[in-house]
Amino acid sequence: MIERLLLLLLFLTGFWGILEKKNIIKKIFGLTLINSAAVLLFVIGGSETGKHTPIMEKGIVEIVDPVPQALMLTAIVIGVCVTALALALAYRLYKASGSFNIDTIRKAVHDMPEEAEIKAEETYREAAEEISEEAEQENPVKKPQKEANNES
Amino acid sequence: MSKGRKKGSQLQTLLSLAAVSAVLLPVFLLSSPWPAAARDYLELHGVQETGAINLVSAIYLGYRAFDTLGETIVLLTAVSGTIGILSRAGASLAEGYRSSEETLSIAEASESESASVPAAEPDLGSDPGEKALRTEETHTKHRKHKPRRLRTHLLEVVTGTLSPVVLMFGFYVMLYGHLSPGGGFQGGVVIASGIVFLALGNRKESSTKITQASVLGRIEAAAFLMLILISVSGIIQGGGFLDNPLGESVILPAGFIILLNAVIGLKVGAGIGFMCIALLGKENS
Repeated sequence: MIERLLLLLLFLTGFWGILEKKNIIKKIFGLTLINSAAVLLFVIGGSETGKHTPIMEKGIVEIVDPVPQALMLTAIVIGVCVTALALALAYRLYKASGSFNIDTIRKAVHDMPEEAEIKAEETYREAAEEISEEAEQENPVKKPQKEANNES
Repeated sequence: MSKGRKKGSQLQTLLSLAAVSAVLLPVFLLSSPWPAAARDYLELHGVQETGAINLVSAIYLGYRAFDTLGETIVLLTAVSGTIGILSRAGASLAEGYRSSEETLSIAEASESESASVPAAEPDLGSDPGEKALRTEETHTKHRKHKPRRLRTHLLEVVTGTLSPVVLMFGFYVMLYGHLSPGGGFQGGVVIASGIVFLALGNRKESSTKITQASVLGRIEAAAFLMLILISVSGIIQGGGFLDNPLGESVILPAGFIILLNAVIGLKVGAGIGFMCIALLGKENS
């Protein structure tokens, strides 16, 4: 009973971390806390059926249920995968915005499209100027011919 | 204004926590008895049918080996996703902001670290003007995101000395998974931590290549190929997918499980080691 209440507390701690903490790394910690709470709940549930570990050496009876343990093995591996992907995403966000704080990241991501637009405009303008300069350089050769054509 | 908003968000958090606990309290405090049918069956027949004394390995490599194959594919996807996000191609997408400077400074910092130490010594004899310039330079350097020096002599010595022991323990856990607590996944994770230890305690003149990301990636790919070949090989003998190709030998009844454990351990160790080394920022070295 008490261990189940403690597991609920662990789950709620992880949930609170995801909701309330501003730091993205702490949010990922919350995710792993929720994962381990679920895993431990299954292991505790399976342990009610017996007393001994499910390793069938001689004289072992009354083993615990090995099925939830084998299933939680999968859950742990997938939890590791999720954590690694989340950390990689956090790294990308840090690279893009220079901070782990979720508010700063939101602001940076909000500003980013405008900056990109300004940059695109600048590059477009520069390219247009270059083209016009080139055209000016080439035109003096061509213009006289056109004028000559017009005159004739 | 900001205080009121903070209070509001705290109230929201409290409310959502209360809602979640109201939903989860009956789940966590469930008092109905755990179904014992699977345990009774496994207790009677598990060892005879699979040959593994450890019933957890008997389940995930004997009865439900197909699940394990899917699990390794999930791990492979996670590794490739992590590498894809971390790699240069991914980072260049975010370069519109200001990361190009940072990546440059980070890349240079490791090179300049060795150079900056001897450069600081002749400072004593030089005139104050130069000193001021140099301090300005260091200030600008510090303002950028300069990675803190993580490697200390203590870390180097401890991890370098411990890593062979950790690696051997990992291989033990991996190869004795059918007899004792452990198995491919657990041993693989221990092997990965041994590889991370090697990478942390690595000096420049080290002779091992196991900490290089390319080598680890190749090991992982080869282990996955072997896993697929092993799971197909039962078909040649007239069995089904993932059937035991070795037959029922008397000497080593759990031979197939040992084989699967070894291959999965190699794959998991290389994969998670690969991810950790990429997260350490060494995927290009």
